[in-house]
Amino acid sequence: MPESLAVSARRRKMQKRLTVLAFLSLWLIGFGMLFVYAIGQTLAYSFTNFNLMNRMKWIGIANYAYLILSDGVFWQSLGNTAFIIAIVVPGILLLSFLFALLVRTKSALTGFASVAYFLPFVIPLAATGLVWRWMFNGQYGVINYALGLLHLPGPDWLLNSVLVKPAIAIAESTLIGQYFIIFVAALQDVPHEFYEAAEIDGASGFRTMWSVTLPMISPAFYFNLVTCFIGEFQIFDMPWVMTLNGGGQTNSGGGPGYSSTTFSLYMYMKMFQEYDAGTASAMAMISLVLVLGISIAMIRASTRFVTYER
Amino acid sequence: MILVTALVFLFPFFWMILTAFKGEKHIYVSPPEFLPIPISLSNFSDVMEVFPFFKYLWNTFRAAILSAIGQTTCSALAAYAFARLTWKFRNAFFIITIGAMIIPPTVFAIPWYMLYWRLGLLGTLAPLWVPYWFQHPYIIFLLTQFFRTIPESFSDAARIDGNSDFGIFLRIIIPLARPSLVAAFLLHFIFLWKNLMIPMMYVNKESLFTLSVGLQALLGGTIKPPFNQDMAAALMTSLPLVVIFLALRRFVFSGIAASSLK
Repeated sequence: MPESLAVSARRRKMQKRLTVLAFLSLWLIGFGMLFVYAIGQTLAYSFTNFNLMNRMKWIGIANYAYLILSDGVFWQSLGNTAFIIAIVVPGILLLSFLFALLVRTKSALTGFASVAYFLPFVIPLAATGLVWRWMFNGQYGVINYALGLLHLPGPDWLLNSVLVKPAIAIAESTLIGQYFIIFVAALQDVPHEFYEAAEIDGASGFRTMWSVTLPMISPAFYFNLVTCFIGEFQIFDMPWVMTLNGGGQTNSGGGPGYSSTTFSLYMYMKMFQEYDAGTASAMAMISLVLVLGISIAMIRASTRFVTYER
Repeated sequence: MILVTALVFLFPFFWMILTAFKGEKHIYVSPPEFLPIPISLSNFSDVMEVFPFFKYLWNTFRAAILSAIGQTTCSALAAYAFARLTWKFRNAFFIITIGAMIIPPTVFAIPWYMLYWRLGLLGTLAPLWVPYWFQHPYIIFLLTQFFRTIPESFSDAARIDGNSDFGIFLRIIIPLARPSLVAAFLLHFIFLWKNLMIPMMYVNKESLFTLSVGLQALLGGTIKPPFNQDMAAALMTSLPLVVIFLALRRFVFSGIAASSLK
């Protein structure tokens, strides 16, 4: 009797394990493809001279050494990405937070405004990029027309190696949709009593913002900061569509020269235009380490500034 | 304030629509003309000679719907294991799953490209949707958050009635989580429709272009169409998503809002 009980208990345990495996099966395959196969393979390629055609040869850290020591464009693309991040991440966080505050008090307009703020999220970036390209057109663009009304000069934004990055950053900063919604939801979750208490205590609007609202939504703020950073680190679509063949080149974006070539764009060109898979793999590994490292550092730092409910 | 900022954010889309209906004589002028007078519809038919809209639409739609179906299935199953079953390493594996969200797609681009090439899939649409039957950590994360909010007592009652975990999943969780599944489906559908880099990497045949790839290809042709035609193509690419979003925005908003509950 006790023996068969033990058998059936073991069988139940086995069955439970099988159930978990069955539910996870699809994701486990994906996980294997993503982590074990893809990262392992990219790491292996990054130590070879693989270019899709030759017989692969192990060349040690030569790809990394080339990128870091003698490829100026690699550093330029990192710099361009950092420049865009430095404008776009604060820009998106600020705009989405301000707009979330604006729609907090319900009125006839808030529904319409929420849709308007969110809309760039649902328009394919290839289309958005084309519109901005048209609006930034040096001769006939509506932005230079507006600048002309203010008696400001209207440059050829996308053909100017200094102005092309700010132009891309402005266009990219309108993609606030998801961050805006997360702020709206976070603001809704602040208990009403907190505001009432602040009011009874006679706190000013600024004081209430600083001592009640900001601490309460700090987890959402950090979540948005980290996801926005990760997203913008990989920025590709907007610079590609805004600059592709802009200066009369063929099939190349990121110009003029390499002035708007972001990290992802440079990696794409290395892989799919130069077929230099070894170097592209090394870049992919560098981007993985950078994104992972900076994200972890941000999350670590968050415990100091973020107020989590416990 | 609220009206002004909303109109500023809508302006690029308005400008796309207005330009799409202008004749070529009326766009290359300074100062710009605001309203399309007279309305010109020929941009749409003209651009379709280099931008076969219906062919690209069919490719995009097929890839988006197939991957959204697979994605929702795969993620709902995995989310059930994370939210409703107890097992060893569950929390550790969940954290790794969240961590997988931050892996840049460029990291798996090259091995997957080689894999598709070996399997003979490079000349097909499969690279755009097959991978999503197996992975999209963001949606797994989102659905896990949703599933956790369903009271445990519902599953317990069903278990007493003799249901297995699959029975509970199908009869209790799926019906109760329907709004979140719609949200996951929509978010993935939008993601795939919009995507530019992934189809640019894996789709090398014009006959398999998605709308986004076709749109950027307008810039790479020997003769670039004038901007009114570009805008007509951009409008046709965007409009289906805008309509779907306006009709179902409740689900889109709730899906994104749930992804921040940490």
